[in-house]
Amino acid sequence: MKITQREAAKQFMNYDVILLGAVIGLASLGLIMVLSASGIMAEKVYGDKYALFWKQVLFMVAGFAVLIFAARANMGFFYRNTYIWLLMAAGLLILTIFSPFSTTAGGASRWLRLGPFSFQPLEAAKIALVFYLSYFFANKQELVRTFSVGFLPPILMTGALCFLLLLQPDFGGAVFLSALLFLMCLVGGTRIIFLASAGMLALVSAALLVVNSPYRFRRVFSFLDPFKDAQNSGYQLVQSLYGLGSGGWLGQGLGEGKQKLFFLPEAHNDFIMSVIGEELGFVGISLVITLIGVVLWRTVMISIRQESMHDRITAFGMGSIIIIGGLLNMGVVMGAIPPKGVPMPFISYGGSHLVAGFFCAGVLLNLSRKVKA
Amino acid sequence: MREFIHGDQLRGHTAVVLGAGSSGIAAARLLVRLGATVRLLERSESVAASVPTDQGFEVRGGQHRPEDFQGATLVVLSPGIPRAKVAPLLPEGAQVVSELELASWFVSEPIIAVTGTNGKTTTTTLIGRILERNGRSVFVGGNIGTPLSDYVTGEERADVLVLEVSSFQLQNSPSFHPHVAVLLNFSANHLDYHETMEEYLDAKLSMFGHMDARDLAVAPLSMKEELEGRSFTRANRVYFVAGRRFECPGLPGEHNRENMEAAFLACRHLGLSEDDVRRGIEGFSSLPHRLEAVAEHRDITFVDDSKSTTIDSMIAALKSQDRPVRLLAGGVFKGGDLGAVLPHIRERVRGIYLFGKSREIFEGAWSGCGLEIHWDPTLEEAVFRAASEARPGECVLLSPATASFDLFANYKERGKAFQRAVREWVEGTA
Repeated sequence: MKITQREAAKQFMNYDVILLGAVIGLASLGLIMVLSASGIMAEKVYGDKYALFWKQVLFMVAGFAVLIFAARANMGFFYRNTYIWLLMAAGLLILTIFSPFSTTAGGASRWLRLGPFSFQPLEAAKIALVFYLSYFFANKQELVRTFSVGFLPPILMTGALCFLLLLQPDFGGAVFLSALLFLMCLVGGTRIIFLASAGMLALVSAALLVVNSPYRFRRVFSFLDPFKDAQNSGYQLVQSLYGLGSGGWLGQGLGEGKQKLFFLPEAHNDFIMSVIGEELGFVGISLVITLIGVVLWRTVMISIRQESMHDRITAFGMGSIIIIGGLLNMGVVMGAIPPKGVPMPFISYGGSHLVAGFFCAGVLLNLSRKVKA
Repeated sequence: MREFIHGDQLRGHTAVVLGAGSSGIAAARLLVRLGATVRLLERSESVAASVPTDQGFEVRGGQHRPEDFQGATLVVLSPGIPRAKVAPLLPEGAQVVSELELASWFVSEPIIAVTGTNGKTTTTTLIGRILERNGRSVFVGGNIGTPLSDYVTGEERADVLVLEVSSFQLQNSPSFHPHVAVLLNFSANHLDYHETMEEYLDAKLSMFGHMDARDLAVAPLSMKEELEGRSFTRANRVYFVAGRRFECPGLPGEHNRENMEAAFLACRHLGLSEDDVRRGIEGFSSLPHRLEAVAEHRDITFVDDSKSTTIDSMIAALKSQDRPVRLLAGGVFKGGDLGAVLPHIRERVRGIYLFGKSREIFEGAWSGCGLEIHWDPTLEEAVFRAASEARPGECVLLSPATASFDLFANYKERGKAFQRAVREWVEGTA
């Protein structure tokens, strides 16, 4: 069957093109900034200024393929295998803790290495958790307001994943999943009293975890006055703030940032927003925040249009993964929350979070189709 | 004005500066301002001992040892110290940069950088003068005069920075990119420092590779094919030949016509017209007997720096030469630490020719330099000896570091005698 151009265009417009535009906008800006932030370092380390840039292009291509797959797939495929995704994610997390594929950096093993590629199972865990929670809330609507059947299972499931993350240890990842659980419980209809008391409980246990580990304690509280501990735990934040501060309204110009040259190591990773602030100024940061805002807006619009509860909560969860990532990352870069390794969705260098982000956007696009395939 | 230097920025870092020349000391000062723990290493004990100790950094003299580099995350190399020489001593992950690179991290003003084998100082000074005469506030420095680090830590701010940059500095400047970069010419030189011609050219060109479409590259037309073949820059490019549009008696010779043309193209990029530049050039001359290029014969240049009566001015004269130097010195020594010149002698001097008084003082201080030290009773004889031993591409420099009244009435007479002797030798060998 031959598809005419007009039909193809019509089919394309069936998707939420505003969301797609925002994602492409973020990814393009990310590509430019990765080149700017990594060029000099890459030239020194790999003898090629574009070494990380081309890898990022490769990740983007892979990510886009995943986006197209997720956007065109039958949602039933994802929904039917919810427990398989969960088991796979948990299995991958376990592999990071006990396996030769795991790579350890800075005392934490959060990555699996397969040949030339590294992969962070946390990203898979986020997606699997969203599928599980949306399945749970959609199918147990009449039970959600009870405690033992309606509230405990999602808590236990998330808790199990968080437990594995804490073994790596990845405190930030556990916070991320908890935030995801919290938001999805809110839209899933959990009683506020359960949520509030669970929230209190989580805060207390988090506080205990922090107080019991001097490393974590220092990291968590250094953000309050990073300058006091500028040579150790506050170092990156201090450099990040200098970068943001010297950017002013319009920034120093693309490629003109100085912090990435020595002071802010690995600027292309989690602290890339600081480079954007330094080089593109308030305007550049605002552009990113606006695009993330567009993702939030489209997520809400797509969500509320869904007729099936399962679709609705899934859409919300996928959007949440992107938005929580954006908020946590900016919070860290600007010193508003304790530091943790969270990449900026679509912008930071790295394959795992990029592909995962594109997958989330793909699912949102899939659900955004006005006429279902 | 944005503030770029913060006292916390390098807190907890250990930085090592190699070489206690003016740029090394300036870099050490800048690093101290940034909050780093700074160690300044200097091979010559006497030079190390002459560095003031109250500036917040530690000075270590003598051979470099691995423990001198312990914990260093940043290493600043002074010009003339090959990176390969210290590489085995460096801790893993230490970043090695030139003083120019370090200082450029804290600069937001537009930079005009001048490099090349010959004529750098003249062209740099000329561009500075043109801009100044057209109402811009200018900082002129870099390899000549004030190091960029001193500008950065200083109070005064300029609209434009005009810098003379050497290939030594460019080689360890992975991000330095000026607004306008001028390559005056390129010939075999400094091959003792750079392994090959190719490496030397790469060093010069690295700066051009960092520039982008808003910037301007100025280079000689004779190098156009070679440069374009290497696609050496993304910046706009203009190529110059010796032109006739500017006349200046103080800047004689074809090479100076090239220098003026290059200066014009650089200034035009900053919005000056041909007339503005003409006004700026008018009346320019190098001061008589102060690094005055008096002749060029068989590709040997002769420089009269008779006004140099101190050790500092001798060091400045040596640093201003981008060619290997045959050094003429001698006269009534006024005191000071001649040992401070030794690193510069090792770096640039190919022969030492003493004349007149103070022979023993010079010989005593410089006996360890590894060069034969000649002595003649008169300046003329010393000039002839130096000129006949000089090879093409070298420079015969009179920079006596002494008062002149053993043989002459004053430094002017000494300079004139030098110039006479040079003329005589040139005519005799023409």
